[in-house]
Amino acid sequence: MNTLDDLRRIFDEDASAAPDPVGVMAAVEQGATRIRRRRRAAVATCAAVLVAAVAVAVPVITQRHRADGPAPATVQIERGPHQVTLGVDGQSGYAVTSQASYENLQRILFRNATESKRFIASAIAYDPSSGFDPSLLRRGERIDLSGHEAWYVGNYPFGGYMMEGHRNSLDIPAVGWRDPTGTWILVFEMPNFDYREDPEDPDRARLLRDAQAVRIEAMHEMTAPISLGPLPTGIPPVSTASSDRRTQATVLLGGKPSPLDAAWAWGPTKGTAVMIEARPDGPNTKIPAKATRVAPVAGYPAWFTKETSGTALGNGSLWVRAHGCTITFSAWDRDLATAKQVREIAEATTYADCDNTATWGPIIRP
Amino acid sequence: MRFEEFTAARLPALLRYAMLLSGDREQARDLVQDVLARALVKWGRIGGLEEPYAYVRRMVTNEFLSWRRRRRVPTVPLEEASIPGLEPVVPDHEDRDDLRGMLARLPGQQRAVLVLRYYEDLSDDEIATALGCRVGTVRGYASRALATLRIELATIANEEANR
Repeated sequence: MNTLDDLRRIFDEDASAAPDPVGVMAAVEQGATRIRRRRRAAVATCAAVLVAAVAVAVPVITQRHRADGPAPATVQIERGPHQVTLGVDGQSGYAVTSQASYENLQRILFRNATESKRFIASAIAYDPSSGFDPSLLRRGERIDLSGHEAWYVGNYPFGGYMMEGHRNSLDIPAVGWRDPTGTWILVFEMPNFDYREDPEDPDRARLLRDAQAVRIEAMHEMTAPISLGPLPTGIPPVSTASSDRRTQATVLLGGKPSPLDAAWAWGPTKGTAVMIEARPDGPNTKIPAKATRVAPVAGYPAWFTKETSGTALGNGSLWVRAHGCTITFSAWDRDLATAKQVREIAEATTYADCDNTATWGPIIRP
Repeated sequence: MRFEEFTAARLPALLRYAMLLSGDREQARDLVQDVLARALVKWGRIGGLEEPYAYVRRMVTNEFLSWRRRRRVPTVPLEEASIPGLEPVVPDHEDRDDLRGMLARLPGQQRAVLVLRYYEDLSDDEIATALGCRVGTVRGYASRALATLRIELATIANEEANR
């Protein structure tokens, strides 16, 4: 027989094994943000329905708005960090090579095969909720860009973190405008060389051609060679990126990068719980020698390392080889994600062919 | 009371409570995170209550009971046997017949009643309020749980006399 003292002793012992509070509050704040966002989205949807009804009922007013040019929309349907609206005109000769999406910012890199390879065109879209301050832009030269108002700034200060391969801030030409959806768009050309050592006269005409190709499209899911399934509670997607380059997909789960622009480092920041990367098999995707072969993940060979790829503060990395891709699932912060959760995420992921974009699916499955 | 003040004072207690309810560290953390996220959103109302802790503890209890009903998440263990922080607190093979094993297999309501009564030291009236049921129901749960755990009747009688 047992006694109540035995029961209390067990309660005391188990209570002493309770999880450490470290990291809990960060996850709580993320969770609360997610709840508020869902509520805002519901409100915005209702408002959008109302606006649509009014637009139908009062076509004359709508027509008058059109005659005066596109008026900034006051209602923005919530965009998830795995969804994109920023793109280029398919008839322009330009093609998007990389795209990234984060809370209320998006970025694309895009190219035109006939333009200089020394620069990579880049566009950033600031959702209306981003609080983008256009004052610096508006101090520039007011221009007409394909029939709408825009501004050209000869020396817009971009932080070094926005320039891959350039540590320091660069003051370079930029064109910006406000889209009818209320989204602010900035277009600039990222030098594909050390700009300070080999300055090249900025080509204003080329930059304007770049800008004319940029569009805000209907919202669609970002595609990648991996499609993440249901995610563990408290580890929501925060940032996603897809590219035709070495790293074809990057997903950051959990955390809230601060400042907002930190997302453009395209890498983990404080508060990131899990980082997932998919790369085509090659010399840079060797499974580490310390990795242990573990049970297959969704039928694909898998390895685990207690050391987390890229950080000393993680709970380990799971490596999966599937269809010519090597995918790394890293528990980036040991307080925010466990190896078990990482395994669950990997098991729920579907894998496509890295070399065949036609097989790619939404980076986060709806 | 501000949310930050509340969590600074009560977060460890909530994690311990959730740990006793769920018997699993990760579930305990998830339970508390989910509940506090919802509490933060409506803290304007909760923070004005006389006993915010009791209210949040009730949220944790309800969340635990609803998890037991709807979430049995199958997990695939890694082959690496000992990942820090993942050791089961309640090994279910060796302790199948001991008190801890029996406690782990109790229905959620019964387990919640025992934790509230013998760890949180609540009266049956307070437990009834926390669980949203009648006092008689609380006593029924407690009685069945104690019988399952083979707690000596004499110790219960002494306890009841002192309650």
